[in-house]
Amino acid sequence: MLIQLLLAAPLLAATPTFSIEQADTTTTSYEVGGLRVIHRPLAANDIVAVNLYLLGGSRQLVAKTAGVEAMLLRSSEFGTVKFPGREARLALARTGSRTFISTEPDWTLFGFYGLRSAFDETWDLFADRVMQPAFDSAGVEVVRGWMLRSARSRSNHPDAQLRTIADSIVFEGHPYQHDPDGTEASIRGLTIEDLRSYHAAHMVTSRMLLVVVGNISKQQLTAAIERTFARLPKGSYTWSLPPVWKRESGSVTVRARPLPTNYILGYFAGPPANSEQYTAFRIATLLLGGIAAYEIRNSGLSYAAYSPLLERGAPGGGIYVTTTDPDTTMKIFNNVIAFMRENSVNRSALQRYYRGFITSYYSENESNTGQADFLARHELLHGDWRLAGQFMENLKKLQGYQISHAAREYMRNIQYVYIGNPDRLPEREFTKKY
Amino acid sequence: MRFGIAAALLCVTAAAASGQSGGLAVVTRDTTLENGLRLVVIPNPTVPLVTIQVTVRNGAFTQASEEEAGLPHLLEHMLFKSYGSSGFSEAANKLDADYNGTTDDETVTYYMTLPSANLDQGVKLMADLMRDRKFSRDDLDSERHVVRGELERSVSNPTYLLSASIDRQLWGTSFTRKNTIGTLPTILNATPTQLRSMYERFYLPNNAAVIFSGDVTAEAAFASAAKHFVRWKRGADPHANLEIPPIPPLERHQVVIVDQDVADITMIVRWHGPSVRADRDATFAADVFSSIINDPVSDIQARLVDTGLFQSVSMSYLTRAHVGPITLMATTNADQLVEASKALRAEIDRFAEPGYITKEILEIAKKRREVDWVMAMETPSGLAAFVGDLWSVADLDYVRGYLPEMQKQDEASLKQFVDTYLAGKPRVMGIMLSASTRKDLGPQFNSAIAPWRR
Repeated sequence: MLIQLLLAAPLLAATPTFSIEQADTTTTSYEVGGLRVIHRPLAANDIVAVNLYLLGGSRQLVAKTAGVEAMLLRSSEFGTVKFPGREARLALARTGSRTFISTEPDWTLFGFYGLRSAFDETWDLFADRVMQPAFDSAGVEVVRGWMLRSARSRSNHPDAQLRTIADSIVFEGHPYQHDPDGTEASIRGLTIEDLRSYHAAHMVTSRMLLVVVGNISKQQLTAAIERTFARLPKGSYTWSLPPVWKRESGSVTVRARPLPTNYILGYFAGPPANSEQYTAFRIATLLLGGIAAYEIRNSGLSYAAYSPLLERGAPGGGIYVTTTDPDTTMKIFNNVIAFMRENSVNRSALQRYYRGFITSYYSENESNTGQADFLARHELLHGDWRLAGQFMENLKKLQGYQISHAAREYMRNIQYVYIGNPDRLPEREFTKKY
Repeated sequence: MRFGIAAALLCVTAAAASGQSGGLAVVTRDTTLENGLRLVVIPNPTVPLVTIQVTVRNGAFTQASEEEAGLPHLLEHMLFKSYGSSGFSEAANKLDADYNGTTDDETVTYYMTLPSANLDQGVKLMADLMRDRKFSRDDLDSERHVVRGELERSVSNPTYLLSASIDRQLWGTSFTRKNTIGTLPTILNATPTQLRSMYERFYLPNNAAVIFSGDVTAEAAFASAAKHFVRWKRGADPHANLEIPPIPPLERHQVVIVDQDVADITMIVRWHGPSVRADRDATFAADVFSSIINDPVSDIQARLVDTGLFQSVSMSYLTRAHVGPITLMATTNADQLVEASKALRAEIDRFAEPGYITKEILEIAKKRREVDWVMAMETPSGLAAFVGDLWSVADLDYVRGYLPEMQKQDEASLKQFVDTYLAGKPRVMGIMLSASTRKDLGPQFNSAIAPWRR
């Protein structure tokens, strides 16, 4: 069976099936029963990737309800109206398809991938989990245990601890302050009635975006939506980007922990994801990481140094490093920032960066699931899925002075978190003014 | 440059690519150059990228003593570091390539993913990287601190510490041959002479394979490799006279307790599993058995996770030439520990009971592996790693035969695997919790541990 599939699939086609050089004439967007759909009917393989974005993320939450959407969706694997109890898991298992749930600050992603031949069976189960969860009390308690364990264990690994502390400081007062995975207190407090109320109020098609990539026709997809999600109320949700989280001054948070090395994470705010400045900000952040990591590593100061990019509605960039010599390492980061603020990156360096991005671009789009996510991010964060094809064009147009401007404008007022030996805290470097 | 691969990750990788062999039998082409270099091509032109991976049969298993522990990994770093005055990074950037290396206990890899239009230049760069390397004291003195940073990050990870503590007991006098990251003294005191000696012995074309995966034809890959790797000279088989003492069998059950500042409780049970060259059939059974244990609809998940005793329970097996470990990992909390621990111990006793593996769960596991295989074929870069690793620890036939072997597994073969490697067999159980949790548990902690000592 499998061999037949592979022989039949255009996997062995002579030319690439996905190219940045050609206009995207395959993808379309349309609405079915109030649900917005982006559909790329690729015939490159027999996998169908289905991503359903439930919009709002942290903005859907208050402190008490943090984690509610995650608990609702996860517990639906323990039964739905059409697939009661264990049948929900068994029905999925028999198809071989996999479902996944990913909670992010701007949305919750619930999706599945599976063989084209199992699409309808998987879809019906998937849709019922969203539309008619059984709110099985035993299942909810199991999920509560999973989520509590996850919340508790965030301090186990220094990297996770670093991110948790940074999020709590950087996003205080911003919608992102509410963790979509919940806190220990909120997870303990959520009741089945909370899940029911949330489901009744927020499962509307205007809050959903569906992206499907794979060998599935519009006719089959439309029919699937019409018998399921189209029956949900449309509601009146309107998607928009959250406000930026700009800070007026820097900060340093220290957690003493006896470790063999020291962990450092600093965040700075970026421009809105749909603004003209965003591309320059993104490239500036990646350049900072690239140059600093090269210097730091060549100096034998660290195995891990880079600049994280918070690719979200209210974006940010940052500095990350683990080192036993924080002072020297942070000096290098600060020197690179100072250099970038004062000097325009030359055209040939930018061109090289542009070319390097082509590899990253295709790597992100290797799989159908990757392509679905790429399309969705452009639709939601940048305003139109069609911009996914223009990303490289925007890069080509970028000028060196725009990078310097982005460095001056955004690489400041950095919110640092430091875990390790407090005696090695590089306080002067952390509080450096540019 | 990463060392090792976390057990959980390998578990996912193995599962993800589980059906590969059937598919690979259809799409792969391979040949061997005159110098002994094996070439494998897996075409997938979905995106115009190609991954070129050189896999070398080296790794921790070649470390004869603690003084050598970590040298293969350090050598992997130094190969990149020693690349010319402008560096490998600069050369790779010119080709728009992403690159990295990995080292584990039996395999070292070097890979790059780049636009397929740059294939020939990429092959030339990888060929240049493999031969005529020279290791200067200055480069080594710089890079050893990077590797030290990698070691420090590892030992900052509580789960790594638990796993390493178990491994010390599990492998006994052979621990050095499983200790990929090595020891700080070795990293700090390694000399260019030591690295050169290891490089000259193991970095030979007849001890390596190049995997091409992505937008590439076999003809183009073979032609390019023949042109650029031809100057890499064959040498004496490095494994011919390599005396690796058999890994000593574990004589009795052991318990390891690790105090770490963690909020939950992690239990890891580890056994000696099959060696792919000694008991090939059992390695396939090990993968299927692990899939069954991990499936959300399996009975073990129903008894241990759905009841709330554990937040997670998972099993993995690492395919290895020299005894692959089987790992059962579970997380719980202080309130549940005593009951959870007893239940986990009882579950292991059930493994050998008739009917433990039902037809239904066996078919589900096989179906999942089939779908996961098609998924794995979507990502050529990951596929190159999988194929390279299995070629290294076994051979290409093993990779090609993987799916049919998976489909052959039945209740009897799984029972045989369980009887040979798990049921009543000596194991090491490690438990990690905070000192304060342990203190609060008082005598209850001993009750939780007691079943594991017998």
